[in-house]
Amino acid sequence: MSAIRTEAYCQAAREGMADPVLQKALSGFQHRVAPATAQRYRRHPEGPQVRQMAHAIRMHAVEHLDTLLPRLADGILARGGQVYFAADAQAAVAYGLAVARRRGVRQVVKGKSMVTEEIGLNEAFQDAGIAVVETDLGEYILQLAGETPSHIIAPAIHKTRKEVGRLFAEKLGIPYSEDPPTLTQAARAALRTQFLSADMGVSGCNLACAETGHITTVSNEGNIRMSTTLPKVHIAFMGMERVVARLADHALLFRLLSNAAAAQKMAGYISYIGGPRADFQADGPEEFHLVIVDNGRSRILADPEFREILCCIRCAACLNVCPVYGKIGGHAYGYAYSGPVGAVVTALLVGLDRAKHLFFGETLCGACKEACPVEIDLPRLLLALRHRWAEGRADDLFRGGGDRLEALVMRLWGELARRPNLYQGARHLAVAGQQMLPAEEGRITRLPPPLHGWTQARDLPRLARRRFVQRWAAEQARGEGGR
Amino acid sequence: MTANREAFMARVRTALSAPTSHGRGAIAYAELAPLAVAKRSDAPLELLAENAAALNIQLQLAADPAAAAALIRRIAVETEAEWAQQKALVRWDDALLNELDLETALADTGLPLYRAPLAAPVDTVARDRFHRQLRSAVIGITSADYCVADTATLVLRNRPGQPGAVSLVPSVHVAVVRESQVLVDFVSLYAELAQERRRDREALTGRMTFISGPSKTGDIELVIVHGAHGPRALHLIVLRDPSA
Ligand code: SF4
Repeated sequence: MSAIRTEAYCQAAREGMADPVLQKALSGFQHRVAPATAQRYRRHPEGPQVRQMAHAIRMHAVEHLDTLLPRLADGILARGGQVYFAADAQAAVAYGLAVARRRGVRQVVKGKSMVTEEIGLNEAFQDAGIAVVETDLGEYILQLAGETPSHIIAPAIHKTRKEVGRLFAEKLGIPYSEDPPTLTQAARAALRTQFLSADMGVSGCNLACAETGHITTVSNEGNIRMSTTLPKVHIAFMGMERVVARLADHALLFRLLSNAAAAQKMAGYISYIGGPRADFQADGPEEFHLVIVDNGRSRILADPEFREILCCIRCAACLNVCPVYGKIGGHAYGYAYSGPVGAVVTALLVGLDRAKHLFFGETLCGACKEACPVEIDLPRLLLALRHRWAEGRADDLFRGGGDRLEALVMRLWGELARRPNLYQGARHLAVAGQQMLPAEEGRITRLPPPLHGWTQARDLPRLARRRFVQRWAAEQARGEGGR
Repeated sequence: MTANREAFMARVRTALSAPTSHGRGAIAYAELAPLAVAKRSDAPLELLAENAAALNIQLQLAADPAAAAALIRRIAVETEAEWAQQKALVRWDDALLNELDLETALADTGLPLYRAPLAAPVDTVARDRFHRQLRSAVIGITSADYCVADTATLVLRNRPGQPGAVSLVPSVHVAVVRESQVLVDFVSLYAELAQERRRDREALTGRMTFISGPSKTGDIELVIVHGAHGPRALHLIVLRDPSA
């Protein structure tokens, strides 16, 4: 599996916030894409419920995976493709490696795919001596720079044209330029050679269609079409939830996906691939493999509280509106998935304890739910994760360690609340004691350890001298007296 | 292999036996699905023109096949070579393009015009030759099954003589469609495809591609640049219906 750096969230977030280049890139990106996406949503003939319809289509698919996946697989098998069901990342990677070895593959061209990031495919191939070239321009830039993506759709938004110019001058041997068309042309020429000589193409799958037995790929650059058309072998990896039941479902979902991902009416290229080339075809791969990956998804599916996240179509719209993502950037999330969707998916894949900062870090402002093309209730999921973690349930994956101190405070509170006399006593003590704490304008600015964390970023209102019930009774008495 | 499929699907079935999802169950899929609404338009060509312009597609109308061929001749003369010294064209071998008689229209330019292999099965010799031609070609010429006005989308399927790579590998893509193939929007497109599938279950073929505009990227500071990997330009020629 690819490296998990979720524990370093706080440190990485601080670094992100201190990076002026990143701050400028993120706010520029969010301001451009997010409003344009919202505007696109308003233009569908279906009206405002269009996203709810998409949600229903996705949820229906997720809850019928038991029939949809075999149907998809059989369609592909019937056209001479091969399908492998991978229980986890290791199995998926091992299958890919076995195919590559059997075919004597030395060079792979790859289209952008989140699930291959998740399973750590590149590292495994490179360890086996097989060169993997990322062909999405953003991913290519990052690969040359030795960095990881910071956004699901625009992986290199944190790079400036100057940085790309210096990088290309050094790695591609072209004269320094900071002109995006010149730089794009340089990458186009370098990658064309790779497309024409690679022995294997690797892609993800956007939303497969069970009814017809096709996977689909979506891109604007055409790199995924190149990777899946020119090499002799094509392997596609898909998370097992990335399928819809009927062909007609795509009519709605591809419109919304294009709106959400890049504020486009429709993505530049959408390809349906249902097998290797037929004997009448002059192009296309000799072999086509589909690897359907579980890697923890069946555990999410089994949990009714979290099942909804499997509706996600990885469009990144929630990143584009998220105030937290917009400040800390994608790297802070420490895994393939960032932003609100990352805070939920990563926690469910790598375990709550390891990723707790991610779901505690989000603000629950609700912007993500409004931006999500399939209206996933991300704030509900974030809250549910916090709840689950705090309860410290000992499920194998969804185990939360909980916070001992918090649990203790809650227990004490429970005891107090059940004993009115004790409660009153404690209240009197607290009202008196709070005078010793530093305060400004009637608000406590710093609690003593171990509670100081609470006042790190906010002030705490002081306890009132008189309780509400006392004040209420007094007000009532005064009111009646005045009448 | 079947064993791992069985174990995998058993896990999925077990997972699904848990109670149904949170909240949401109320909106039944069956009720919602037909609500996807098709747009209407009295002037689909105008709608197409508007959306093509937004995507940087060079749209031109041709009154008859000869006019279409003349347009392609002009494009061929004006387009600059990219990967090879010699400018060459490669085209699909299909009924609509045959009607244009491009061979005659281009004869005086001296530019080679290759045809994708039609005879099935395509043997290694034919395939290798096609690939060499494809790499050297500056222009790829295809027809399309449909053209969707609302998104300026071309729908291509792989059939004998119609390899999708012709719309991808050359520097410039020229597509020719008949006016009667223009649909209003995606909802009508999927309705057509569904109808085709009712007649022939394999109507989609093993490879179907939707193309909306030339290849593009915004990966360097969100500046849109055409010609990332695929064609840097897309010319769309609509052949007017004779009645029009
Ligand atoms: S949660 Fe919604 S908005 Fe976020 S990536 Fe998934 S589908 Fe897109």
